[in-house]
Amino acid sequence: MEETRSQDQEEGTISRLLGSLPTAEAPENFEAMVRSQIADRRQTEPSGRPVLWLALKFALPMLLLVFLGAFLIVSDDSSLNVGMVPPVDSPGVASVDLEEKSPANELAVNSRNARQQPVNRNAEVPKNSPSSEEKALSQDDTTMFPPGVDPRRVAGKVSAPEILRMLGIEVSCSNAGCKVVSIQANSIASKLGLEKGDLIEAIDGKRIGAGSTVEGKVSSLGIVRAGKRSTIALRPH
Amino acid sequence: MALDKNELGSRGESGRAAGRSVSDHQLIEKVRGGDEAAFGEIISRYKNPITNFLYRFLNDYEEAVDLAQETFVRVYFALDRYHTNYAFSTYIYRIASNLAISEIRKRRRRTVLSLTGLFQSDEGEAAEFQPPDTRPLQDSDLVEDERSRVIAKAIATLPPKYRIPIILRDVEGRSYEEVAELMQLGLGTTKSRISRGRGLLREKLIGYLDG
Repeated sequence: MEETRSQDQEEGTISRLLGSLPTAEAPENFEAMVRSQIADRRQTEPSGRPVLWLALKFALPMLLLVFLGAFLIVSDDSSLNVGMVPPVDSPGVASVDLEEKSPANELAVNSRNARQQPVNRNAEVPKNSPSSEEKALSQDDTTMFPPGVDPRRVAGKVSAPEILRMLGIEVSCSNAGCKVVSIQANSIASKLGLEKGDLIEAIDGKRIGAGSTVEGKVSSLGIVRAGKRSTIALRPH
Repeated sequence: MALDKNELGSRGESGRAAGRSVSDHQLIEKVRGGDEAAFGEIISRYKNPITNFLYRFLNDYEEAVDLAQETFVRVYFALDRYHTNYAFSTYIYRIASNLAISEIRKRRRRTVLSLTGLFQSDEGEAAEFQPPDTRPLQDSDLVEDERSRVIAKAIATLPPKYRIPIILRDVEGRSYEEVAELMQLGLGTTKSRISRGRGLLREKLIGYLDG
């Protein structure tokens, strides 16, 4: 108890000691100096606020808006491409190559004669000639698609059924590949000669199945029909 | 907790405050409206308390005046963002405190520690130890000056977290509530820090307490 009282007394003494210190006063020209500094800063920063603060207040939101706008534009573009169904009478599919056809029977059909000129799927491929699949793959850069449908423009990976749907093919996929369920009339697939029941087991030489994705680019389809394998190439007109 | 929103309650200011017809907030509104004379009134109200506070904090008059001027410049440019929910005195002291703490940090970076007379103060902060000079002096004014000098130096060696509340409470004469609001601390913590600061000062000024 006494110890506490003694401590209080000492604290009181300290407090009085500090309170007895002389008070420092500002110099006579204090206000003039302050106003002078304010005027100086007004000249360098007209608004009186730091430039960085202004930049953060205005430039940053603007930048965010620009990024947001750019993102929306890009995402809209991508979604259109992915969801686009091949239009009727599209002239994009230029020709069909089959692995088992001979060079003599090689078809270079455009969209008009694709239906009129049947594909000879039983022709043999000469041993010394490069495979049609290799030829098709070598034409990656010039692969053509109908206007508005260009799987090459799809950013990133796309599921195999999705990209086949863009060609007008409805499929049911399993581990063995994707079986053609239906072909949209006048679509790329119908012009390629694909038929219901075909099994699409590869895209651009890579095997596909349920859950497979491709790089948003199709140059050739590997199919199995009646136990026979063949490759259908999409190449420029 | 909004304290004394209009007036200074510090030692030596209360008399003048009582005679003020325009509150700090009214002056601020006038300044915002472009009345430069109103800012002159704010300066005249606070220049001495702020200068004294900074002087006791830094123990360097020239530096204190410089920082006091900087405090008013910052207040001027920040008036648009000032909210009248808080007492203006709290606001301006907070700006001054922050400037003073920044200055202390700058000094600490610049300081080449002396090889003698150093000890580690509270919470590992380096501070200069100034033993009391107890030699007798003939002239009472000289004694007074010497005592003030030693006390000022002892205050300046306190860690900032004790120095600010001690100056505000014991030198400036502000209430515990005002000090707590300014430091954004609870009342109990503030009192505890003031008590602890006084204890540290007692240790430094032991020779003067006896006299």
